[in-house]
Amino acid sequence: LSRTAIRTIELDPKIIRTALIAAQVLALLVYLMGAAFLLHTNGGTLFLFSLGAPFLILGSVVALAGVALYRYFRRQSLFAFARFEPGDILFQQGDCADFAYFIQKGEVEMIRRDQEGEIVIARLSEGQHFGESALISNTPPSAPPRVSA
Amino acid sequence: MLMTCWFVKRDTFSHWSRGWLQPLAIFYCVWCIPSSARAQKNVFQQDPVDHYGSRFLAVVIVLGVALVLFSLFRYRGVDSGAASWAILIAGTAVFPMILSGFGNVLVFERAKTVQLCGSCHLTMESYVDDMENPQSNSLAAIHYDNRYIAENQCYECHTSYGMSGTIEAKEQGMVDVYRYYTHTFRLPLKLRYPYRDGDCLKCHSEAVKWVAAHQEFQQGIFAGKLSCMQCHRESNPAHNVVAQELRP
Repeated sequence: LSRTAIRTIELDPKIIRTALIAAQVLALLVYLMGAAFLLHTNGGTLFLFSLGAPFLILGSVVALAGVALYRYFRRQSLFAFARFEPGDILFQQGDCADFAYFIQKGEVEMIRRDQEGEIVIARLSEGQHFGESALISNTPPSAPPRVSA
Repeated sequence: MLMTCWFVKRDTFSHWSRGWLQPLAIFYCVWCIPSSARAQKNVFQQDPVDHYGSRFLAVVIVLGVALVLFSLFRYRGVDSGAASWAILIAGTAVFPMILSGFGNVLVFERAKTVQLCGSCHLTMESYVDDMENPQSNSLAAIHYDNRYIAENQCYECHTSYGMSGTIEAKEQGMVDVYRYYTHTFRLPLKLRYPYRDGDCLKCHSEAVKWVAAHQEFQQGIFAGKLSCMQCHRESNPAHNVVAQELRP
């Protein structure tokens, strides 16, 4: 599992909110131009609707795409996504943990090995997480996780 | 449209009647206003593109506005999950793109109408009035009054056939609209280029009556050595509009 840190600019939520509201206001203007053209067709409404509306739509799409890209890269900078096969051991008992894990799909067994063999002490599935305690306390995890499904 | 809905909601009708009046009002807005807004002069000339296209666009506008207003009031500019993004994308990108894309088909259709040309009242009204005047002897009036051209008479005589003609006319029309609304036009109005004989000949050149009457000139006209208006300007001017009638 390798992870490339992506630096993102931390945006004020107000800026994102303003961008989303601006996109919606631009869309409302497009609808207004369309209604004006439909109800009262003349040179002015036709000119505005056929030439002005595409620019407003472009502005609206740019604002939406900007927020969506920001959200995407922000999430990418916080999370690294990895896929494991059943039977894979994510890290060994006593290894230093670099990550906290969130399960998107599948099942993980937390196992403990001792002289008598190995014992499954917990089964975790979608939405659950593990490894965070080792990350916080900086101590090696006591139970290595194994992908079971 | 929105104002009509609001009026029905806030009017003095009793509570029991609001239940069916609101859908009725929305149906009226979507289905009837687009056609009542444009006077249907002749039911036999009803354009299906305009008839159904305007209703389709009205539905798109109503749904789009509803989505955007719902998103604004429900989420107040905050993106919170897949549902809010779906409504945002539909209301602010997908529906406006449908409106603009399909709307431009209607723009091309309506840009051809005499009503649109006449909507620039300060400059074009005299030409349209002359064309609609049964007493006028201008070529425009003769063609209009006798319905030699069934509809879109301005467009048919001032643009060439085909898609390129339509786009060319639209480009020039956009410049005209800009000049009209910014009051940068000059009077008297002049054509950008000498009138093309091809715009007469596209209809007349294969008419039996025209061929019989123009046998001796035909070769010269087709070769571009003679012009239609060389002979017809005196007896039948294109438009009976004098420059003094036009005031900015």
